[in-house]
Amino acid sequence: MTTHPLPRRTFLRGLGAAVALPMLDAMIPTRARAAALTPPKRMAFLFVPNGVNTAEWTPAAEGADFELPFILQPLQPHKNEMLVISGLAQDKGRSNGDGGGDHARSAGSWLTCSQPLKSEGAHIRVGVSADQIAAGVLGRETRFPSLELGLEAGRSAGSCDSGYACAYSNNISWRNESTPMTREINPRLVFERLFANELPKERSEAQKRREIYKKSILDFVLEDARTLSAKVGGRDRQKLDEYLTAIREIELRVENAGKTVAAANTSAAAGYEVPESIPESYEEHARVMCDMMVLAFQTDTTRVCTFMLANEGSNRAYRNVGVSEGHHSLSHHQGDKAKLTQIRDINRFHMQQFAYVLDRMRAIREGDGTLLDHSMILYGGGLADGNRHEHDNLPLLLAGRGGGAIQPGRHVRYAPETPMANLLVTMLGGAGVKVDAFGDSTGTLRGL
Amino acid sequence: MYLADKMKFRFSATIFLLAGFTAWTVTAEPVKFAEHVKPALSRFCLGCHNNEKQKGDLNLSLYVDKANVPGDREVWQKVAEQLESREMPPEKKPQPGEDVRDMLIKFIDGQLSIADCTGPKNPGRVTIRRLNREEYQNTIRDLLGVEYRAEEIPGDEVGYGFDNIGDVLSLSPMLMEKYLAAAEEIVRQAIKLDAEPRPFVLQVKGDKFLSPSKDARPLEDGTLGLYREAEAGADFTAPRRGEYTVRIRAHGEQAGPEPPRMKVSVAGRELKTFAVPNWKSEIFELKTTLEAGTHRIAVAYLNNYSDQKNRDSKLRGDRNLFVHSVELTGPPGPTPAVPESHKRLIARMPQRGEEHAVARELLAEFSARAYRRPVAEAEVERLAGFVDLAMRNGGGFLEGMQTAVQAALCSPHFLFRWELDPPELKPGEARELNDFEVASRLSYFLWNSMPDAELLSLAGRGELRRDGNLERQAARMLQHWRAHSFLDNFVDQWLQIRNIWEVAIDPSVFKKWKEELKGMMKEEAELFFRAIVTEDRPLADLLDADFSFLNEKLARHYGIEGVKGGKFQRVTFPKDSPRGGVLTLGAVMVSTSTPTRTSPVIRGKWILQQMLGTPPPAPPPDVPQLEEQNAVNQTASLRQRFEQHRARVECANCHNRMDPLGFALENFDATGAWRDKDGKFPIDTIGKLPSGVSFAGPRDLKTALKSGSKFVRSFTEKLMTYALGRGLDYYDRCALDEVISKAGGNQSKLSGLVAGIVTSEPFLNRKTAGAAE
Repeated sequence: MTTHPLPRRTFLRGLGAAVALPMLDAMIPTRARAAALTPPKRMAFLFVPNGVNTAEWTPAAEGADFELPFILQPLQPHKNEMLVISGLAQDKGRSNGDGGGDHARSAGSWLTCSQPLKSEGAHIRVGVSADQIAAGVLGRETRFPSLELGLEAGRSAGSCDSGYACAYSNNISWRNESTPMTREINPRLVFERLFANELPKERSEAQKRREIYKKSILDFVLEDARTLSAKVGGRDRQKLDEYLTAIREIELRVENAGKTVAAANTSAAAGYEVPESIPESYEEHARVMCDMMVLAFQTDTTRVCTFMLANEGSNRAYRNVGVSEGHHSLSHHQGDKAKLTQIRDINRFHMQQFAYVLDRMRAIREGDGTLLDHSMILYGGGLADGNRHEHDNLPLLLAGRGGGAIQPGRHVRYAPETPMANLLVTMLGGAGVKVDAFGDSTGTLRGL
Repeated sequence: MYLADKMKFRFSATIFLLAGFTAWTVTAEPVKFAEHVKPALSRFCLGCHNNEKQKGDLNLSLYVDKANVPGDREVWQKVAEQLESREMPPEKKPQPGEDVRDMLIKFIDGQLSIADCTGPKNPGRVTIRRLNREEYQNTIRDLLGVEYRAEEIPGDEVGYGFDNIGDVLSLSPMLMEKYLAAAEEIVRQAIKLDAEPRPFVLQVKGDKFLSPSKDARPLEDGTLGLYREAEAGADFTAPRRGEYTVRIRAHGEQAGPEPPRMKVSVAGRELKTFAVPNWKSEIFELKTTLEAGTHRIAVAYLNNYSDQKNRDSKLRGDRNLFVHSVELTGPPGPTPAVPESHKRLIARMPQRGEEHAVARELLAEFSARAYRRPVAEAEVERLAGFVDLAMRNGGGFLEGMQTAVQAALCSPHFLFRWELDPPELKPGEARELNDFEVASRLSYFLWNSMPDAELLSLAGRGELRRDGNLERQAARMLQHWRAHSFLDNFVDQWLQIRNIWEVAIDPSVFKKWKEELKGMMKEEAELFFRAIVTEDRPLADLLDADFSFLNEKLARHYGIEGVKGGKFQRVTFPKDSPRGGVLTLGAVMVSTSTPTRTSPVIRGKWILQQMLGTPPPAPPPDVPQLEEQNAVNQTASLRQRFEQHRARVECANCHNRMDPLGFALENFDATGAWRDKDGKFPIDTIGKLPSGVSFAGPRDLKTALKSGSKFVRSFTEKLMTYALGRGLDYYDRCALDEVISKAGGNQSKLSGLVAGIVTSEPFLNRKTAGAAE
């Protein structure tokens, strides 16, 4: 019996008693503990839509000596653990001959750095996203190659942005050029997916048989798919490939289950309450989801995560910060001061959620540092000023030290039109994922 | 190449640009290539796109005397798009006037929308469709009788306005996980493991038998040792009256001239005496009838023998009796109640040894329904393998059946609707769908679910496409309760009222608003649409009807008296009521508003796009949206400010069409309630269309919309999109025209359109994958 150095339950700040989560060191798998001298590197990508109030985002000074503008102020405690990155552009978010639809392209290109194919449905296509490239390497070690989180289901009728299928606005993670990685927006389901099925239990004979059946079902359906694969063509094949990929990934997880999950991990989770479903308050929702991400990293259940704080083009009204007009409507502010103030308030509110993530990650000791030290967390969006749909000088923050890959605590500015892809290539390299080129990259970024 | 999608876009934009909405007018003077188009191209385009210089790989000098638009669709497509989005000509080059720009776009669009309806038809090709969430739920219900709420399965992506479009129904690993988990949960509900009557078995170990005699002794190995004549007994409770079997496991230590004799009595009655000549334990069995209740079963040793000194070595020794256990087995109990799903799946239980055969029999029936087609022997055999697997691992027949069904529910054959093309077809060649494929197309169109027995049996006999069966089946299906799923889903998506959940109405602006009204408004819309269909009314009634379905709260919100209670009831509006029809539905009014106010632009765009099928083109990338602000506390009314903006030429083109439509509905506020003033400004709903038609308020608007042909056409386009699971392409125009004209043009009813669609070329045929794909 292991003794727990900390209380078995820890309640989330601001959440009341309803949600209790396992936040303990005891949840760190023993394998990870054994390897604690070199904790693994984690990557997260947090997306916010509709551009920002750029005047209140960008620090005036560059280098280490800069003041945090209004929007970034919630990050004051983390000023030395992050970079403010200015000057990068996402050219693939621009029209480039495709007409309207900047919001769809903003999200679609953010991590793919590829031009989304303009389509309301047929042949949706963009490119594999940077997080999925990372997942292909970092994800080999963990039960889940990557985790995709969101807070909004997304529009369920009509199109999301002129001429573009909603898949572009609602996803930033793409498994391959035509398969978006579906986000989970219900924290309870995230928790159950990550942990519930892995809770240690006295396995009865019946449960052992279930496991045999499960493997055998996977073999069975895989054979079905392979047989079909000889008979289909065109886009049908593409759909079948999605199926095959999904089954193989699950199969791998089942096979590796014993290998990647140490008992200590799940035994600690056993006594915890499962989070409630989607909380009514957006803020609570965001916080529980942040906790899920941090928990997944802490337990080394995954090392790669994307998280959309809202879908691109979202017209959510942030009444909790006194904004009752929809975010997207406001983003077309036309210089109106009152609107710009409201946008600023929304931006700052999102930033508070990010600060919460950084607080949490810094509080977790790992090896000779913190979880944050071993992570690279990119925060930002694919539009600068939403009013005119600017795709350059993007608002981007990079937090954490990436295990030494990043020297934070500065505001760095790159030459105009430097591709955002260069940042992603550099981040991937820092995490030990070698990519020479990605999307429209032209090289790596110096001085991160 | 990726052309199809753009075609659709252009197809719609054309109609928008061609005319206002009351009539499909064509410019008086036909535009000719040589006379009008060529000179404009020369002046504004050829400078950069000619034989020598081909910016963007485009050479427009190739088109000397005709445009060859249908032949070079992609080229002209792009040209029209660039013109429309004002990306071309580039800012620094001479710009064509609006009239010239329009003329070019119209000409190209006109050429692009030409489809040859005389030759061999192109039925198009739909990408195989994964069951969406609604279809999955309904299919599980109809296949197994299990009500499964697929809430843990994420919602489906939307394409072309609907959530059943093959191309966007993708499958991520996470979704597949959900399907695996769902299948496990579903089979547990569908097949109950404790479905078999449990036989009664009660075993008591020998050492639990009690005796007053010291010669009957419980031993450490669990047996009862009887060393001299003695009797020992134990109580057994029989659960019910019936014939029971008593099995005694015993052995004897042999000595003397005879084996040990063991007398068995039940409830004081001596039933049988056995000789126990065996050194190793064996079973001794007898049968008896018992009443329900507790009975004492006793074993007695009758013939002790002990002679250690006999000279005859054969007679020397000690005889003893050992009882290992006594087992009482009885008649099986009553069959436990099992759900209908279980009875259906497990039509019979196998005898020992015939499990595999019975599994095959049951799974053959099941898999044909699950896969919605005849299944091959080998497929059934593989499924039956799960029963063998379960039995090998100590699970029962039922556990094996659970696993087999679970596997089938995760198979691509179940999760996707396959239309496999025979290999002998050439790429791009069209083929007739087989009857089973058609049965699924019908059922997933009209029921969002699997085909029922009647459809499968018609398909099995090869009669589905014969003798008017398609029309007859469609009519039957449309009036079946299962059609509610289709009707509700279609109307929600057609009217885009699922978006009602996204509009966070500001309670500080609308003090009387209650969130519960949203669900009621949606229900009103669904009930109204169902009524139009079940009463077989013309589509025009969708725009203009004198009734709706309301409950007390919703009626009060609308300012309508006399409706009592929470139940929805049919309410007839007075003659002069502005309400009635989809345009003024609360659900539509809210879905097309912002949290704090109405938006005539969104409403106007909604009418153009959803009602007329003529969406305005997207604003050029760098032109911001028209400024709309809360009219309250402003010096000019919303309307006046709009008119100012429409003075800007690049905006006017589209906003002159959108805004008047939206303003006609200004009396309905952002919550769908009636108002006479917006802030301090009176509502002005008078509008004029570019075509010259004037109107005032919702009544005129409805009349105007009804009088044109676009409403029916656009509705049919959307219905076909839903039916086919793909966006319409230019070549679908032939089928579309035919469906509408067969259904009676402007007088069409949904039933007629459905009959037309299910017998149309694209519904019954499919093109094989082309080489270009």
